[in-house]
Amino acid sequence: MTRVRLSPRRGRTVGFVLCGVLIVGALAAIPFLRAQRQVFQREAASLMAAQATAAQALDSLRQETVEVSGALALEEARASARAVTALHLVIAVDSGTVALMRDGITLRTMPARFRGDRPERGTSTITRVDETVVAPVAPTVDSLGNLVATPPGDSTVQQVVLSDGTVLRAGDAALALLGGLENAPGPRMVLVSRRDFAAIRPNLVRGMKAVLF
Amino acid sequence: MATRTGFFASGWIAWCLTALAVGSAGIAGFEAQQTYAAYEGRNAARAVGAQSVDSVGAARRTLVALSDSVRVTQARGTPTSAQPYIIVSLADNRLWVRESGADLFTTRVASGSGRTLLGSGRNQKYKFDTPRGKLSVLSKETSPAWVPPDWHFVEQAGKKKLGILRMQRGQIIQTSDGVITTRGSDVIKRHRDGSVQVLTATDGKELVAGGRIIIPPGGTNARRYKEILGTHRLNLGDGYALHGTNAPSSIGRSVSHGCVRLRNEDIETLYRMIPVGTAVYIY
Repeated sequence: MTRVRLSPRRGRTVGFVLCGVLIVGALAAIPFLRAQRQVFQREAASLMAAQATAAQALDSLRQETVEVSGALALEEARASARAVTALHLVIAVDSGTVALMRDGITLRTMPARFRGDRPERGTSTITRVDETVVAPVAPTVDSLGNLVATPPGDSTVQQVVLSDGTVLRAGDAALALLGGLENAPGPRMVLVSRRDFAAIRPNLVRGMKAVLF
Repeated sequence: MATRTGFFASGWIAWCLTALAVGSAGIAGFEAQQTYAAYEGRNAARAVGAQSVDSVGAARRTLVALSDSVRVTQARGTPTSAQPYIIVSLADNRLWVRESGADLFTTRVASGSGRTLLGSGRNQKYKFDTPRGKLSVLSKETSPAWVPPDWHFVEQAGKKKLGILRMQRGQIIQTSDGVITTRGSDVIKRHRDGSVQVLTATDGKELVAGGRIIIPPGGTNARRYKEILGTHRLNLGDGYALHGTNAPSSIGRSVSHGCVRLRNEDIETLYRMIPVGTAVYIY
């Protein structure tokens, strides 16, 4: 390998040229790199912002999915209630309504109140139809703390008992309107008005299905 | 002392240029490193963004599928045909015509009294209940005639404290002033002087002979009462029907013998809006 020896003058020129090229190249590259970096940073910032929006959208979609899943479960239960073509009872636990249905048609809808724990969702059957039972007459207070007298005749009621232990009873309207029934002692109970209960009572027989959802 | 040769022999200019070149190259290198980091950051953000878009897309597809399932489930089991149906509440003495759950018409009715009537035979009982359950409109007619069942004559005999005589076709029943018999579709009275009178009967004015109410043979005109059932009738089978009435004051009460009575204007409305085959739910 031969080593090229430059003359001092030529060496100087090469040195100057190399330095010049290096300086010019570096000075040209710096603004280009800065501009390019800003482009990357802006794009990254915009992507991050989009990502934050996407994360929010994802959260809200997940939340909505949970809600729709709940609604689907409810609709599934409703559909299974409608699928029963024979006359049957439907108890909507959340909305607090009782309905008499047949062939997917609602024959009667009744507002209801619950006493004790809310009944479990699922399918149940009527195991007992009691013509008249003597209801314990406990002193009751209204929401203002006033003692509520039990009207005469209210100590006897009609009721049906479901296989899950829930009692569907003709409730006293005044008691049903009072708050605090959920915490009252005694069996798990669904109260409908005497008028509503009387209207459906002749249709309630042992073995009839009751769908609770 | 060593003597510098070549480029560095140019003195401080060469040194300055060299320093400048090295410095600017250093700055450029630093800038390149920073830019590369930004480039990497951008690429990472792109990858994460693409992943987020995928996740959002997947979540959206799941939600759409679930929402579709809700709609499908909502439709499942609901009556698909937009046919009207009739609901009768015996406790409320009220009738509704509904279609797809919406009320089209509602009115008060009279329904079965729930009474029991003892018949003339041994252990014979008639219960005046409106049947609960699902029936359907089998036929419709205007100006319906009522063919009273046996219980009607038992009831009338009880009210008037009379006996009952079940008449057969061709049977001759002796009376004080002649005989009662049948001729074609008529029940006639042949008087002693040879004259013939076609006998008619209506609610509360039944044929009576010798202290007994006559039950005319089926198919005779004497057993067809007009204007009792109002202007129209929708037959439900087994003798039960939705019909009008000549006693509008009875509407709203449980007084009928099992049929569902409506005011004439209401049964006319039903006659127009309800096709044969319509389901009737009685509870």
